[in-house]
Amino acid sequence: MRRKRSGWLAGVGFVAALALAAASEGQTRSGSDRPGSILMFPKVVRSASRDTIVQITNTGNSVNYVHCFYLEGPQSQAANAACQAVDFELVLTRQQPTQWRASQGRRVSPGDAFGSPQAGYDPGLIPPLPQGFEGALVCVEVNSNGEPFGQNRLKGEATIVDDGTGDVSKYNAFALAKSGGDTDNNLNLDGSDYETCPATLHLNFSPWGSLDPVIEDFGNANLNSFISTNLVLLPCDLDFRNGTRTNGTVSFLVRDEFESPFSGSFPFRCWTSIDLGSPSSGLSQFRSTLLTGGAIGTIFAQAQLTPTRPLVGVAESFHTDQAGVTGAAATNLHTSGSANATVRLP
Amino acid sequence: MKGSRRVAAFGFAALLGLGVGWVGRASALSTSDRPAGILVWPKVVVDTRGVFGAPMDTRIDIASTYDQGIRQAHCFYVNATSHCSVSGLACRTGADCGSTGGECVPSWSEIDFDIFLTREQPLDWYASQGLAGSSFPLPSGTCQGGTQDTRPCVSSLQCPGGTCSFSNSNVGSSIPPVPEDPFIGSLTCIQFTGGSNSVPDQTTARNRLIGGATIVRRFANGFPDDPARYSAVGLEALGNAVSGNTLQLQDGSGNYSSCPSTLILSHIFDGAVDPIANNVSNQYRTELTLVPCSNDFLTQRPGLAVAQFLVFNEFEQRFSTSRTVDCLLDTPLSLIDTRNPARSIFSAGVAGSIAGQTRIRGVGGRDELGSGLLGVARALVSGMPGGPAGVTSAAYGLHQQGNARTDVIILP
Repeated sequence: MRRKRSGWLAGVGFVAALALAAASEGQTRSGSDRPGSILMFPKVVRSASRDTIVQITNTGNSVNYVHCFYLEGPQSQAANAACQAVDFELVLTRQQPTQWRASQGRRVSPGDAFGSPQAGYDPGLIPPLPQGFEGALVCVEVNSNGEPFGQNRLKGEATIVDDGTGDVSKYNAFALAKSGGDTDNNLNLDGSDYETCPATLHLNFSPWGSLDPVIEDFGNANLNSFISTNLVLLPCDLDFRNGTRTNGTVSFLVRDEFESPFSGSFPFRCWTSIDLGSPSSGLSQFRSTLLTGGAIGTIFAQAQLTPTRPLVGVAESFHTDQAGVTGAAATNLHTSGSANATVRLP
Repeated sequence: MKGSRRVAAFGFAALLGLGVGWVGRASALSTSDRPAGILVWPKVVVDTRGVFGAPMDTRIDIASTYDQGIRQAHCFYVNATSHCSVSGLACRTGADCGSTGGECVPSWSEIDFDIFLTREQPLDWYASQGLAGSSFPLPSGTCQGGTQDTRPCVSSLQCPGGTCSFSNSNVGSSIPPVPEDPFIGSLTCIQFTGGSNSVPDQTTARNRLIGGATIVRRFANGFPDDPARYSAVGLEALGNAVSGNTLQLQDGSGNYSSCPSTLILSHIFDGAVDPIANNVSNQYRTELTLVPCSNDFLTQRPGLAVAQFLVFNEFEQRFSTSRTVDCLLDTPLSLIDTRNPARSIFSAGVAGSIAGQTRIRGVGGRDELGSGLLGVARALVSGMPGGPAGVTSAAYGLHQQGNARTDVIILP
C-alpha cells in the first residue's frame, strides 16, 4: 500500500511540474525579442546592389540542429516558380553564433584560417542565392533525425546592405517558441504545440511622399526630401511539404495624427512586398497629402493590419534627399492578439 | 519503505523545483513587439551641429492602440550627457575635452512631461525640437452645445451655453526639446489613466502604448542620410494597483512585468572585414547602449548595475568582462574592456571569427533599486564603396531572456 502511495506521490509531483510548465507556456508569446524554436526572417533580398547578411545564434548549451528554408517570393526575379522553397541544414554547437551573406552562402571548409571571413565552426553547407532573389528565410529547430524538437534557443538577425552606398538596415527574426505537443512534421502554431502568431500587426510609419524634416533642416533639400515605406509580409501558414501557397486579404485601418481614420484592404500571397502609398500599390490611404490623391495630412501615422490568415512582417523606411540618394532603416512590426497557423515540413 | 517514500517526496520536490525554475525562466513579459504600459527608449541622441561627427537627431514616435478614448503618457527624459570639468562643454570621453578642457565628468538629470493621445493616435517629434502648443495635431478642444457648438476651444468660457470637450484633443500635452545639444540620454513613458486623479494605468485599458525611434544622421550632399530605427522596449502593466509612487517591476505580484535577467546581443565582431568586398576599409563594428531598468526620479538617483558580458565566437570559445552602467552606457563594443580596440575581446582580430554572441546580465546595483538592464545596439559599416567617409548604421533591439530581480521606478 505504502509503495502505491509513494508512486501516487511521485505521480502528483510529475503532474504538478507539468501543470506549472504549462502555466508558463501560456504566458510565453511569439516575438522578435526572445529566442524561439522557429525563426522567420520575412525579408531576404539579393539584388545587383543589395545583399543580406543573415545571423543565427544558438543561445543554449546543447547542440542545436536546424532545418532552414529559403522561400522565394512571387515578385522575385530569380524565381523559376513562384513561392518555391530551397532547404538546407545547420548544426550549431552550444552558444554558437554564425553568419553568412545571402549571395555567398557558406561552404564547409574547416581549413579556414583564424580570423578569415569564414572562420569558425562551419554550421553546414548553405546555398548562395541568385541575383534577383526576394523572399524569406524560415528556420526550425530539429533533432539529429530531422524531427521537430523544441529547445527554444534560436535567435536571428538580418542586415540588408546596399553595396553601392554602404547603407545598412537591420531587423530581428520573428521567433516562435515550442510549447509542447508532438514531434511530427506539422508544426501547429496554436499555443499547445508552438506559440501562436499575432492576429494584428501595428505599423508606425511616415506616409509615402512625406518630407523628412531632418534632411530638410540639415541638408537644404529645398522641400525635395522624400520618405517611403516598404512593407514585407510572410504568412505563418507555410506548407513546405506540398508547396501550397497561402493567399488572403489584409484589412487595414490607418490613423493620422488628427485621428482621421482611413481604411481599406489589399491581397497577400505566399510572400508580399508592397511600397505603401506608391501609385503602383493603389493605396492612397498610405500617401501624404503633399502628393496627388494622398490622404494623410501629417508626417506620421499608425496602421493596424488585420489579415484573414496570420502574418508576420518587416517594414523598411527609405529616406531620400534632393540628390536622390537614399538611406534605409528596417523595423519589426508591433503585434497584438493571437491566431493559429500551421507550418508543414517535408 | 520509508526510504522509498523519501525518494518519492524528493522526486516530487525536484520536479516542483524544476517546474518553478521553468516558470521563472520563461515568463519574462518585457517586450519590444507588443503594446505595453511602460515604454523605454534606451538611446536618444541629438547633435544638430555635428560636434561629434555627422549631424544627427532622433525622431521619436509613440502611439496609442486604445480605440475608446484618451490615454495619458507621463514621460521622463534622462539626460546622461557628460561635460568637461573646465570648459563645461559636452563630451563623450576625456579626449573630447582636449588638454585644457579638464576631465569628462558624467552627469544625470531628468525632466518630465505629459502627452495626451486621443484614440489610436500616432504622434512623433524630433528630440531637438519637441512639440508645444499649436504644434500638436489636435491642440484645442471642441465646443459641445451652446452657441459655439463644434468650434475649437481651450476653455468652457469660450462655449457660451455649452462646454469645451477635450475628449478629442491633445490639450495638456507639452513635449520639451531635449535640454542640451549635443545630448545623449534615454526616454521613459508610463501610461496613466488621465483625468483629475491620474494614476499609473492598471485598468483593463492598460498596455496600449507602442513606440519607436529613428536616429537620423545627415552626411554631406551626395551621400545617403543614415536612418537607424529601433522599437521602444515595453514593460506590461499587470493590473495590480500602484501603492504610493513606487512602481514595482516584478512578474506576479508587482505592478509591471520584470525586466529581463539576460540580454542577448548577436553582433559582427568589431573590425571584421566585409567578406564580399574583402577590403580592409570595409569594417563592421557595433555600438551598445544600456540603461538600468530602475530609476529614482523622486530623489534624482539614477539606476546602477554592473553589466557582465559573456562573449562567444564561432569556435564556441568564451570570453567575459564586466562594466558598470551608471545611468547610461553608450560605447563601441571594443571599448568595453580596453582602451585599445585591437586588443578587445570584441575585436575580430582577437575572436578570430566574424559573428559573435554576447550575453549581458545586470548584477549588483543599489540595494533599494534593482539591477535589470535594457538596451539597444547599432551596427555600423565603414568605408563601403561609394559611401561617405564616415559610417552607415542600423539599429536593432536586443533579445531578452528570464526575469531580473525586482526593479523599481520611483515617481516624483
